[in-house]
Amino acid sequence: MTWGDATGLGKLKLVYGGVALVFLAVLAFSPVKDLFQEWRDYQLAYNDFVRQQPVKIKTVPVKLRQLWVRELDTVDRCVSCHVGLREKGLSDAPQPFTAHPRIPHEVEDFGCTTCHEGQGRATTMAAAHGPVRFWDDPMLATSHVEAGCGACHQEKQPPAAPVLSAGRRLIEELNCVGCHDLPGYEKSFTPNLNGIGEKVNRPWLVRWLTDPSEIDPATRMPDFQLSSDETELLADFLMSFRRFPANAQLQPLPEDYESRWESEEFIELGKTRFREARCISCHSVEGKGGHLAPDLGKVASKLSPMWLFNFLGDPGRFQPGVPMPRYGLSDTDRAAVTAYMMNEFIDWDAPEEHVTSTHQPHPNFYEEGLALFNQYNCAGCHTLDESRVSQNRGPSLAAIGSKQVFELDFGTLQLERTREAFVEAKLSNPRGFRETLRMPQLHLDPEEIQAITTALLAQRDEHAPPEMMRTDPPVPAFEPHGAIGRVFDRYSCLTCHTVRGTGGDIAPDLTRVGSQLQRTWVERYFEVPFSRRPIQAERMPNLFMTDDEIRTVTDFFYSMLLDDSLQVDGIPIGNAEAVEFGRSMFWDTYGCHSCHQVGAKGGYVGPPLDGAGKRLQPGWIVSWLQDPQSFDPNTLEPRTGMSLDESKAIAAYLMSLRAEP
Amino acid sequence: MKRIATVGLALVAWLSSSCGDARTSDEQAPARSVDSVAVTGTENTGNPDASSAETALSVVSVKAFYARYTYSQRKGMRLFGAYCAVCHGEGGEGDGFNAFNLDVRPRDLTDQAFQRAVSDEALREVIAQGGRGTNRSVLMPAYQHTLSEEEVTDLLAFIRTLARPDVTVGDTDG
Repeated sequence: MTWGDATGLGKLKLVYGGVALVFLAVLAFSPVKDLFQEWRDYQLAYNDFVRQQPVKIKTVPVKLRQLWVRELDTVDRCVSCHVGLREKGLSDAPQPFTAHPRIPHEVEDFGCTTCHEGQGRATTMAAAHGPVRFWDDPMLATSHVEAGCGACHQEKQPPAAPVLSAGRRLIEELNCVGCHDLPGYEKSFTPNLNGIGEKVNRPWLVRWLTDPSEIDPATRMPDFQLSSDETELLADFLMSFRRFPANAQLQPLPEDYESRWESEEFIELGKTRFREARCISCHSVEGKGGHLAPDLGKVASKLSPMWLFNFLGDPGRFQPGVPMPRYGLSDTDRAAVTAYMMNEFIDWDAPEEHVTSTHQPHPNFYEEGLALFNQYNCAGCHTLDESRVSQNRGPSLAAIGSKQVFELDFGTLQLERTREAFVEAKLSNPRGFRETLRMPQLHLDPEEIQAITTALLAQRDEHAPPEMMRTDPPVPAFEPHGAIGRVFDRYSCLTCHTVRGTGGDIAPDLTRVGSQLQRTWVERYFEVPFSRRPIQAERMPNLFMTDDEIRTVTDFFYSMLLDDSLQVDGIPIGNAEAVEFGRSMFWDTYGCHSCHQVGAKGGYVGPPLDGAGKRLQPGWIVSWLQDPQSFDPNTLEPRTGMSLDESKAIAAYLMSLRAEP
Repeated sequence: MKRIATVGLALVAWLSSSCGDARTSDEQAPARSVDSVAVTGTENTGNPDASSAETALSVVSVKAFYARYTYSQRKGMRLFGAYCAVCHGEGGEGDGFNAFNLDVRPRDLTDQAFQRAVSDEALREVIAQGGRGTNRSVLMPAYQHTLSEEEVTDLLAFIRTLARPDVTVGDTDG
């Protein structure tokens, strides 16, 4: 073929002409293809759907829609199918037409993928929701959606995100930071292992290391799934540590104990002191009692009586940082409590033969035990004075929520290739991926796994603009010094009570206690504390404080912990008419007795109010009644909206209740 | 000449395929009837291949919970647990621990007849204004100064789920 050939050129023209026509047809089709998009069908279906609704809802013009949030650099086309997001009448409509539930944010300000993840620019359901190839951020399942909140809300307990809050609490409780880097999370208390050889017996330690939850189902110590050889070696290694922190020395048990420890009346004395001290406010016995401290139901099969006797005298000396208060028990009382516990709290499941058999340690137990101690990173949680102990941490989780899927080692598990599935599987069966992994079995239930997964997925390395990040405001540290500091320290008051933002939330906030309670009542209360609130599991223990200490505390309450704004003028105390009016408000108008008891009548959700006139300050009653939530956001007492005069009358009535039950 | 024709055909084929891939198959396109789009988009099928039965169980129970309760109902459930359960009971049967101290027994909210008879407006009023505002026992406090209107709506949505399941409650739009 030659280019000069006339007929050849004619054919070529024909082909060109043909191609041009085909090209034109294809170009003409290109604007038409928009008519076949998935979102178009959804929008037409939406218009059909809203026309059938009993309430009038506007139909929408069919077009591609998107939310563009410039500050966050998000372009989300989700609204192309989720057309009814802003229609209140569609809260129960089927997806994708459901209205967005009301949350503290506006959809327009945040876009969709900021919280939900997924591929915002995609216009098909499969690609937008995922998981799809080449897009590692598929939409979060509804159960984990609060991970999206956590990306900006770095507060420990974001109030509108209960699952995230629970997860963050669990991560601290379980001490995940012992092995993993998780910035912002604090380490919780774990026992110091120095002196463990003097504290526990070897058979118990072997059983404990085999599976801690067998002995105490509520323990935070996970199961490292050690072989029986490993357990024996580690137990021998640990039992060789017989020196306590800071060289604390055990005092020998008093003669009282040696001679009387099995006598009935001595045990009875111990039982009485055990009850008076309300040990089960924090500890449980066979599952009943508080949940702040370990179960005591089986401790006789664990502890040496000498250690227990000494520990009760000064917990912090043998276990630095332990939240247990230092009770003011006499030596005899302590010995009696020890006798009571050693006689009563026996683990009947413990195999008998262990106790009698003599044990011959492996010749190289120390080196091999140390190697195991390091391999499983025991030092991540526990302190042990041995220079060769090393930290052997697990991978950092600081940005687990931003990890690309190819960075996660799914091992041999056939899972959906998503971060969510990975974290959930890891938590439920840590070594399921491969047998050589070290992570212990945490025995979590499904809700705990969900909560922790949510909190972990909130750990990102890319962040929203700094002005959108939310963190807890810094709390000015409350650290009392001098005599009152020693009392607060000795009795661990701030484990349960809060003063000016520092402390626990188990017991009432003491920040303004001097303006709430009457001094004489407080002084008497310290002599024999009792719980005002019957529904609370944690009761104020009898700390057996000395008179001097009680004076120090009350002086402090009534000189420092005051709030002048609680002073209210014009409360008609003693005015018979006002008292009568207050009585009718209390009983007939506001039904206060549905929660408070007076004269053995009424409910017990709140504290009984018998003798309120001797306990409470009138200004406090009025301030509280006006707005309970401003003093305690979590209180059950509803704000009634009563007038100031009504509050004053009720205060006058309550101040007239001077009879103790 | 043949060569040119082949190139031309290939060009046409390429152009038409690139335009056509917007729509790969008919099954993926949603039908226009409302019933068939009533599929929750957020639903994740979970991980059926999870090696341990434990994982499968956890996924199922948590997923079932989220499938059963809406966002509003879940919020309402927490409010109910905090404020109402002391008297009305965790399950709403009127058997909270404080119920036995009250002269008037709290309402059994699982009662089908009651749930059917009471309108959303009436329930909302009882929660907001308490027994006193609705001519019932003063033992039921008013929550209009404690809870926002939205929270009352959430509470209402949850209370409606308490009705025993064997009966369908008519008036549930709220």
